[in-house]
Amino acid sequence: MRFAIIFAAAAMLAAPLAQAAEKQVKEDYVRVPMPPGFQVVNTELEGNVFADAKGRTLYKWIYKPARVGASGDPRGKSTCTSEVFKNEGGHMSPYPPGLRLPDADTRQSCVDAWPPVLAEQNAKPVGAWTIITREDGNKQWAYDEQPLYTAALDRMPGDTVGGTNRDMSEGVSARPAVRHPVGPPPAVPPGFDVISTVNGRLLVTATVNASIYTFAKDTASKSACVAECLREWSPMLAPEFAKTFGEWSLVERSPGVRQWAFRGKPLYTHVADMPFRSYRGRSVDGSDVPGWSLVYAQLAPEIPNDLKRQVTPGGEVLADRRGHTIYVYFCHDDADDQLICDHPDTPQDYRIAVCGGGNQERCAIRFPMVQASAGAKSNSRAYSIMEINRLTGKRAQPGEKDALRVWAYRDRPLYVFDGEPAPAVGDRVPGDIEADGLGEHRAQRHGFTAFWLRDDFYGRAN
Amino acid sequence: MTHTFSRTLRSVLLAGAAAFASTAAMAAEDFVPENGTIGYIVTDFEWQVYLTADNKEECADGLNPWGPREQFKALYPNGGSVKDTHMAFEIAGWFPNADTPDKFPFYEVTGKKSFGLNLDGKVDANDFVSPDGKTAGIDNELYRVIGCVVNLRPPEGATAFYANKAVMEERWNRVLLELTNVDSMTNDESVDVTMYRGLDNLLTDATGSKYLPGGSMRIDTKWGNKYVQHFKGKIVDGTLITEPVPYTVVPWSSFQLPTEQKFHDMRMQIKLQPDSALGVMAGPDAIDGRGWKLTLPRSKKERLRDFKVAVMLSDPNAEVDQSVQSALQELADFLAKKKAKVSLTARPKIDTAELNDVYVRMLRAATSGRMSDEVWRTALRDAAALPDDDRSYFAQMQRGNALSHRTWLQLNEKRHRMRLAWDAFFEDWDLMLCPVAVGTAFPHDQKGLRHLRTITVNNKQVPVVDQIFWAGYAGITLLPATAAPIGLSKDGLPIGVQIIGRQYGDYETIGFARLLEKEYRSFEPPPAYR
Repeated sequence: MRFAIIFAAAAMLAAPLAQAAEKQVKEDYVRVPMPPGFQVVNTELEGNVFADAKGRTLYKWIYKPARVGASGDPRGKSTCTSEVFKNEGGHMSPYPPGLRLPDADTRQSCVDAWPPVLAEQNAKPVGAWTIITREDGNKQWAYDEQPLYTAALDRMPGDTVGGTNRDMSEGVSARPAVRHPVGPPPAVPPGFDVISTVNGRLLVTATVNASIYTFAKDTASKSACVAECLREWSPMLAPEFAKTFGEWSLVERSPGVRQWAFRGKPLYTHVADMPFRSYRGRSVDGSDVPGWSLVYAQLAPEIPNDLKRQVTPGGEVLADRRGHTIYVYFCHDDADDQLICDHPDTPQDYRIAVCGGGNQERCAIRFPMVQASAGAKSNSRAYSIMEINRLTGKRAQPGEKDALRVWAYRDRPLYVFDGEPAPAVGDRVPGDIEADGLGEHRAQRHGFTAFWLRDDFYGRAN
Repeated sequence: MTHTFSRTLRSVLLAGAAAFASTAAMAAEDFVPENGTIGYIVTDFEWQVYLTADNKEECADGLNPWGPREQFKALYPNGGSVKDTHMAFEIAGWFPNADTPDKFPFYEVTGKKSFGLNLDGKVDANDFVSPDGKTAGIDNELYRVIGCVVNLRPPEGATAFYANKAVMEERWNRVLLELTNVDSMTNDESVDVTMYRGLDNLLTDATGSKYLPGGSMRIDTKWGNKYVQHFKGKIVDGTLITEPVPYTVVPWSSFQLPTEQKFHDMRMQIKLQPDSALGVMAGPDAIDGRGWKLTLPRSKKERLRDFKVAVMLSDPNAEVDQSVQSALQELADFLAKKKAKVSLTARPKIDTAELNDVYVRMLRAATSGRMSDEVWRTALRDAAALPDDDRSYFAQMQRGNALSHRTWLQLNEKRHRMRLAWDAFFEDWDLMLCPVAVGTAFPHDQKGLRHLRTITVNNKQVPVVDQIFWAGYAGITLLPATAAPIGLSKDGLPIGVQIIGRQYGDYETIGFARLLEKEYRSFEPPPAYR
């Protein structure tokens, strides 16, 4: 009994979550002029984003061609209105427009789900912040001419439940027109950029988004990568007019040749990192060389102890305690406003169609949610534990019939593919990824994708 | 037990350009690679489809005209809800159900020529002949299915095109073949072949579509050795022939997903050149070839008089309606008249009450794995509370659901003893003829719990679940059974006979059914369908 008491005390002494997060290094950004009432909020997954006075993340809805037609906002105009769509828009052939949506009777309008960020009638543009006029005559803030919205699904400052900047949709006609968080530019010299990946905000080159690395043997004033080493690694050289600022400094390799350093570490690209020929992704092969590391302006939250990393033939995935691949379910419907349908507060019909052929029980057996072990706690907002009804997929009260305590990422439950005995389908051993891409249009429109932590082949950890 | 005769075989065309340890401009005559090693890299990889210019030879019925848009339009001309149309259409793809055929005709290959290999060493009526007419017995059922599907016909079929484009462009698909211990590229009795996944992009010229032989390629084992596969082979007249390997996984993604093709008993036949190779990779697919082969003995019996049959009209475990018993008795009389040896009393030395007990508990145990924990806990509680002498279906069901592994092993032992008893019985008798069910089709009844529902048998109300005895009688002891029509009830409903044979005697039960169809009674469609 004594031991039990000591353990309990130790658990209570553990640092509160917020404090633990404070210790993490956060990404810096360029202080752009902002209208009054707005702020910059640091988020776990998307770095720094613009937020309204209440801390709600701001999003844009970029115009995107679909298989048929297009949706989203052209620059300078909002197409997100108070109209409640009852039917599909027919953007996903072979399906014609006019099919009645499963949630037609209870559906939100676009402005319910994505409240526009309204401006006072006498508001004045500031910098890249401009003002557009909505159809109903109201004024709306825009940034870089993209109208701005908040997400009804976001619950607290720093949330990015509404969308991500991870590059999954560009150039893929079957993908929906999603919403992206908007933020200030990262504080990097010309030639650099910072992008969102599953592992954190990755430092890359601005032109082809090649990965940038540091070398363990380097110091803040000297590069140890010389001679032979330079055949494989290419220093990020700085122009003559470059000046140190913030976390950025310069290392003189030889007289007149200066190399950028970030947080006291000189920076390189890996010569042998091959750009993928497929449409997305970037190589992180250089990180396999001992002593060389990728550079994150800010790391993503750590994986909860209850879950683990697992090697598969396609790279690394997040896995449950057995090592079975974890899947995320992604969904946007095909009404003109492309509303989200992968969150517990949104319709579940699409998911239950994929996982159970429309049958809730079959769905729960084939694709069970990942249950949190007793006493498991989340150490971040990105990973959370939710009470979800295993059949309906909706939120539940603890102890309610069919309620499970499940792991969620960005407030979406996580799943494994247990499958069925006959016909025999399912992940059977650690490393199986049998359900990766199961869904409509290979899960690009809606469906299950393995939770990739490293994907050397199709770049889905980016 | 159902009988399936379909046999699917896959074969693909593979063309490779030599990637390492070889030079481009070598004489075509024999050469020996340096260190006895030569590597090939797969640059084209496609399901082989034998095509003629006007499709007439291989697709006499035409090409399948039903793409997804055409199908959707035909199925749902008036639109409807997303659930009933769009989702239903997708679900049909995710959950294919062979029992509900779709509404569209499907045109198979009608021609006799195909690429591929003779996988079973036989020349059967279903087999193809190689396009050059030199090889008979080509097994390629996959071609029969996909050969007349526009999307899968190279080079312009979209699926075929993108699948092969991905082989060229996507690193996931980088398949290397390394030949070692090569003494001659013309004739060598023993060479070793290893398949790897490569790490690098293909070396191409500026057009991106012409491959340069002679470069080196790194082997990718960063993410495990799943795709490393060893083959034994020989080279005969410049062609590499490998021995079948029970199970091979080849990474082959066509649509930006890390997918693979699974082969059973896969073998390769590849025409080798110093700087290129062209050949076939073939084997039965995942469903049929899993590790073992089944050779069912053919029935030698050609007439009804060749059979010795026992007939069983009813059983205390599941009393059979008089209408069915009469139909069976009529059949028995007919068979006796046809000089078959018939007995109404011969039985295996099995206590049918014990068989039923073993069957129901093992059946429910077999289906218990998918229960929710909560339902299972209820079964545990029920099983613990039941009086020992309660042998009702419900009691047996809950005992089965709550079965301990030890009890299962004990039941399994009993099952196998009964199986031996059946086999002894089949030393004297060829077949057991018995009812399929206790009566004819009964009206739908979805009220209440299943084990409480009843049906009428011989003017008595009996539990509907009792009659599963007749499924277990053959099934629990692993025997094949074929059902054949033998008559109609007063209400015009069909009555069948269950023909049970010895284990692996499937052809005998089917053969007997075929004779009944010819000489006694054949299937009659219901009046409305004639």
